[in-house]
Amino acid sequence: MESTSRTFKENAGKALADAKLRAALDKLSDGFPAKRLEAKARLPEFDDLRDAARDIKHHTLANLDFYLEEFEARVIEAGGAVHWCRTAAEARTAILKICKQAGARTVTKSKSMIGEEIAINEHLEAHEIEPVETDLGEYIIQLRNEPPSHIIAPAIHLSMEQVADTFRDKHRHLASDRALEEPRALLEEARSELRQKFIAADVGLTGANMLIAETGSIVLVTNEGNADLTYCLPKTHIVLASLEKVVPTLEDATTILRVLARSATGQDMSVYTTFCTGPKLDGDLDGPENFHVVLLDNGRTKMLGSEFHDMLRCIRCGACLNSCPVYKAIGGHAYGWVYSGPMGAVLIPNLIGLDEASHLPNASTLCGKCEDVCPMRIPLPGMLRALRRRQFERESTPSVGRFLLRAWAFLARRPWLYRMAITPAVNVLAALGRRRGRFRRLPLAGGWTKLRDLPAPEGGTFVSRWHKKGGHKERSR
Amino acid sequence: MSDARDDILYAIKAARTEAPVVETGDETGDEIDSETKGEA
Repeated sequence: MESTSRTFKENAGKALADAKLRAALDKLSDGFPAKRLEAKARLPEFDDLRDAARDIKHHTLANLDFYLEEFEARVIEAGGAVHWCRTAAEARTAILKICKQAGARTVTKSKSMIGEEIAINEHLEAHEIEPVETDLGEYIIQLRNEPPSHIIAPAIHLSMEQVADTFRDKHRHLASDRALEEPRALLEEARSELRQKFIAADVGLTGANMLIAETGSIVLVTNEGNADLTYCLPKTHIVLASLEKVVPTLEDATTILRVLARSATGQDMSVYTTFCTGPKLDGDLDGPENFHVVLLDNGRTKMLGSEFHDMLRCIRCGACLNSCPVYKAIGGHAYGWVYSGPMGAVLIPNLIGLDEASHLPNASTLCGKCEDVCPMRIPLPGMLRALRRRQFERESTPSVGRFLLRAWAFLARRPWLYRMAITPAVNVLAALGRRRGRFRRLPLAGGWTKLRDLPAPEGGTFVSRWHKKGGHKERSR
Repeated sequence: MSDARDDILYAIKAARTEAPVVETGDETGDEIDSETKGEA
């Protein structure tokens, strides 16, 4: 997928001006985060499970080569094949080769962020193979030729009316006066269209939520069952997964599953959780005859051992997106590449380069909510700060900003000087802003006041007001 | 693709050699401690 991360500011500006998008994103606040909290409350050991899940991935990453080789050996034993790919181009080539060997004209797909990462749909189409997305959200955005805007709810940016309009526009063979006002009607129409595609597909392409080294199995988690039809109906099943998806054992996979659905959608368990191991055996009623795993690096090994090592624990639940005030204001498309929200703001610069995604580390208030909700306890705000530090050190940020940061750091290390500089400035601003209570314009703060007013200070610094209220005495008691 | 396999495994091993000791768990990555793994 081609990146538009360079134009993040313009993308965000457009998103903020899009009333339909804002209405769609408003629903997010009441949905997933509230359900996650309810699911957490139902499971007293939830935080202990988060620790256990973190430790599993931590251990796996420390021994990644061992577990990948174990996984490969078990896949081969089961009758499958593993294709190691350093880059997106290698993965595209490997998948196309398998599709051609299978004589494929149609490939059904279940939702795969790695598929988006390597732009596999465009590649297959360029070689006259039709890719068909089978996750409802992905199907909708494929019809609209749009990228996903959320890693677990790819069409969350759309209203029901927009989906109905898309179906009317793309499903021209159906009666134009059919009723599409109810969600059920939309679902039935998509199901009916997709059923024929499932049956006709020559190859099924899925992602994988996890790869299990102990058994060579892959884990597929969906709420629609589309991944199951994608993998078991065609003669060939291709699994496209990045290498950090491996876990040591079945037991480890079940621990991670217990935090995955709860963190993602607030469900105790996703509706369909499937473990696939190799092609079908003699006597099996269904399943693919050929089983291929395409293992993708695409920059992950560079993150190993770096400041961003822990990012490789991410299980793509989307909890950090759902709780991020920036994501909830602008949605996923503004980030300009496959991933979005706090995890995207860390992952994208690591995968496509900090220069290409230079705005993303700053697309955060550093409120820390993402780290609070992350089931794998990834220190996302710390990583965003690390990326900002890199930008500062490389001098890739504007010189005025660097000068102001240096001046701030100089003052912050000298409290007496800080007070001398800040107190008069705060008092002047308080006096100037007393009448209106806010500023519409302010020198050096144009970026802020362009879109919003700056509240006027009430006078005095936090510390001086703290002392006036006697807070310091209360604390020392 | 065998070159890719070797390159990826080499990169993983090299990262481990260069990486500082990680902050949680007992493993340094040099050995697989099955008991520790089981606890995870």
